[in-house]
Amino acid sequence: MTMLDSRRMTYLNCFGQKFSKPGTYRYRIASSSTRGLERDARFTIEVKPAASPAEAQQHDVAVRLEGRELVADPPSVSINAGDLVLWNTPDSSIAGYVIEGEGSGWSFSSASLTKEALYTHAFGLPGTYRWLDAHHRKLGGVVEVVSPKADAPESSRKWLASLGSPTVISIRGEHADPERVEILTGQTVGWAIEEASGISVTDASLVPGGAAKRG
Amino acid sequence: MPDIIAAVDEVAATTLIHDAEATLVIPTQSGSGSLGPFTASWSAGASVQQGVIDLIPPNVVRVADCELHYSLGFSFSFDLSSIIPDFCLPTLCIPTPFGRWCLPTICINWPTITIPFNYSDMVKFTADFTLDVHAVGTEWLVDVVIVGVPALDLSAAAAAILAGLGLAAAGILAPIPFIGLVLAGAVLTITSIIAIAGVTGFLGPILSIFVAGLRFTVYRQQKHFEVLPSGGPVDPPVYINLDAISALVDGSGGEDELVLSVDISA
Amino acid sequence: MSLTQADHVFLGVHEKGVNEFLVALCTARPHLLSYASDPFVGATSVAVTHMAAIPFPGVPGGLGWAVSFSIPEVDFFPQTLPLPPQLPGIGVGGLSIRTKVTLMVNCAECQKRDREGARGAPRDDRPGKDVPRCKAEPTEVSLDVFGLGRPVVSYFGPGTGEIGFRVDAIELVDVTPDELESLLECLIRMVLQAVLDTVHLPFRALSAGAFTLALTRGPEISDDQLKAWGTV
Repeated sequence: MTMLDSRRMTYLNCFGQKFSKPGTYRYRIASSSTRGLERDARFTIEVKPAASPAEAQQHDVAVRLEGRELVADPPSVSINAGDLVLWNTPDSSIAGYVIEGEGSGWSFSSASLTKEALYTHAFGLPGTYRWLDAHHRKLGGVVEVVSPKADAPESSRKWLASLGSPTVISIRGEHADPERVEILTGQTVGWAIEEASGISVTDASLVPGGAAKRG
Repeated sequence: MPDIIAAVDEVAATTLIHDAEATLVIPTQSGSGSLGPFTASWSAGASVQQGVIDLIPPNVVRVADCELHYSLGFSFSFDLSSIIPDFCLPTLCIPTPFGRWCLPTICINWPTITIPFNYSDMVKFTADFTLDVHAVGTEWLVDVVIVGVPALDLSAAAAAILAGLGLAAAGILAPIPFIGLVLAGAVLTITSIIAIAGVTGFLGPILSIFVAGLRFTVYRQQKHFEVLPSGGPVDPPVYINLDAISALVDGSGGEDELVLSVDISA
Repeated sequence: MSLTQADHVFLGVHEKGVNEFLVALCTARPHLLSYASDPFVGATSVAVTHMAAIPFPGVPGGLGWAVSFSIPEVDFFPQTLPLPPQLPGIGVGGLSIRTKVTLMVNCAECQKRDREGARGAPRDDRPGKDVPRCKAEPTEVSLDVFGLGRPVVSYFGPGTGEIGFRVDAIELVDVTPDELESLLECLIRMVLQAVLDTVHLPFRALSAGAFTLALTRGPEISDDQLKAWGTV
C-alpha cells in the first residue's frame, strides 16, 4: 500500500533538495524497515561555488536495490551551489526509504523537510487524504482525490492530459497554502517547503491521534 | 430357498436409498485445474440427496434427478500486466519559489493479483447403479455403485460463476493504485478470456470426481449378527451368523423389487 | 405375484431360518428351556431357572422337581415333518412344534428314626427327638412331544415388534393309561406354552437388520415361511 508519507518514500514519490551552500555533503539511503542499522553515509554531493549567477540545474539520482541494499545511482554528484538534486526510485518493489544527509553545517532529510525542499506524491486511488506533519502536528491539510468521469473517450483524453498538471502546496513555517486541494485520480501534488522546522508530510491516519488534528 | 428374504418395492427402495445418501460421507477433494488460460487451485466438498428410484431387473437401480450439492472454493493468480498494458504518468514540472523541478516519468507496473472465489450450488444428474454385495472384514455390505460418469449440465452454474468472478475481480482490482479508468476493462478482459467454456472446463472435472465411483451402502451388518442384546447376568447376547448374502432386482412377480436373500446359521 | 404385493416391504423367514434362530437363542440362554427346584438347583443361572420346590407335609424341603425341553423344532405349513396320527396335521397358516421333555422328581424315602431305649421299654416322648432320615434318588422320564400351533406377534410401534409361538394342541406318544397321557399332555402343554412365551424373535433379527419394519399385515405362514408385510 503506497501511503502518503515523506518518511517512507516509494516509486510514487520524489524528494528534492536545493543545495545553496558549497561543500561536501554525505548522505545515506535508509530502508524504512531497517533504520538505525544502515551503513555510514557513503553517497556524496559535491557542491561547488557558483561561478556566476546561473539558472539552477536539476540533477536526478535514482534509488535502486542492489542485493539487499539501497544504493544511489549515481553514488556521487557534483553540482553548483543553487542547483537542485531530485531523488526518486523507478522500482515499485522498494517498500519505503528515507534520504538523510548532512554537510556544511546543516542537514537534510526527506523525513524532516526544512528549507528549499520538495516532496511529491502521485495519488492512485480516490478518497479524502488528510495530511499532517508527524513531528509537530501543527501543520496539515486535505487533498481531495476524485475519480475522473469515464463516460466518453473525450473524458479519457482529458484525464490523461491532466496527469501532466501538478498541484503545488507551499509550506512556510506552520502554514500550508492552500490547505485544501482537489485533484483527479492519477495526478501529482508537490509540497514546496520554503522554510520549516523539519516537517513531514504524512497521512493523518499514520500519526497517533492524528485523525483529530487540523486538516 | 434362502433362510431370510427381505424385499422392498420402489417406494421403500426410495427411502432406503435416500437414507443411504444421507449417511454417505464424501471426503473433500482438492487440486488444481485450468480456468481458461489460468491455473486455479481448488478445494471442494459435496453431498448427494434425493432422486427418483427405478428398479430395473436384474440388478440396476436407476436414480433420476439425483441432487449433487457442492461447495467449491478456488483461487487463481496472474500478472495483471498480461492483460492490462503498463502505463506511465507523463513527465511534469513543478514551479516553486526556489526552483523549477521536473519529475521523472513514473511508470505503473501492474502487480500479480490473486482472485479467490467461493461458490455453492446443486446440479441434478441421472445414473444407473448396480448392486454390489461384498464382505469387508467382519461385515457384509450391500452397496449400489454408479455405472460410469453421468453427464452434468453445468451451464447455469458456469454463468453464475463467471458473473461472480467478475465481481470478485472488481473487488480485488479496485484498491490497486491507478487502476482507475481501466478497472472495468480489466474485469471484462478477465471474464472474457476465462469465458463460460473455461468455467465449464474447470468445474466439470471437479464435480465428476464426486460422482465417478459414487457408492451408497444400503445394507451393512456384522457377519456375527446380534439378534438380542444382553438381558442381564443370566441372559447373554444371542448371535447368529450371516453366512451368505445376495441381492438382485426381481420383476418376475409383476412388480420390480429389490430382494435381499440371507442364509444364516446358529 | 410380487413379494411385497400391496405393501412396500416384505419379510419372509423360512422354517429352517427360524430353527436356526431357536438354536442360537436356546444355546445362549438354556435356562429358557430348563427349570429346576431345590435340591437340584439352588439359584438361577444361564443354564437353568431356579424354581420353588412343591411344599408337601412330611416331605422335608418340599418335592424337588425339574423340567427341561430340548431345543424345539418348528415346521411351517405345508407340513414337511411327520406327526403322530393323533394330531390332524398342520393346517393352513399353522405350524408344528416337536421337542423332547424330560421330567424329573427327587424321589425321596424318609423314615422317622425310633428313639433309643431297651426293648419293650416305654418310649421317651421328649420333643425333638423324632427326626426323619431321608434317602433321595432323582428319577426322570423323557417323552417326545409333538404340538400344533400358530405364530403370534407383539407389536410395539413402527419397526419394533417380535414374533412368538402359541401351542394349541399337544400329543405324547404311547403313554398309558390314556388318562395319564391326557393328564401329562395338559401339564406339558401348559408348561411348554409358558416356556414358549419366553421365546421371542424380534423383527430386526428376522430381517437380519436390513430395515425397520412397520408391520401392516402378518405374520402369516405359508410356503414353509413366516411372512410379514409393511413399510419402512
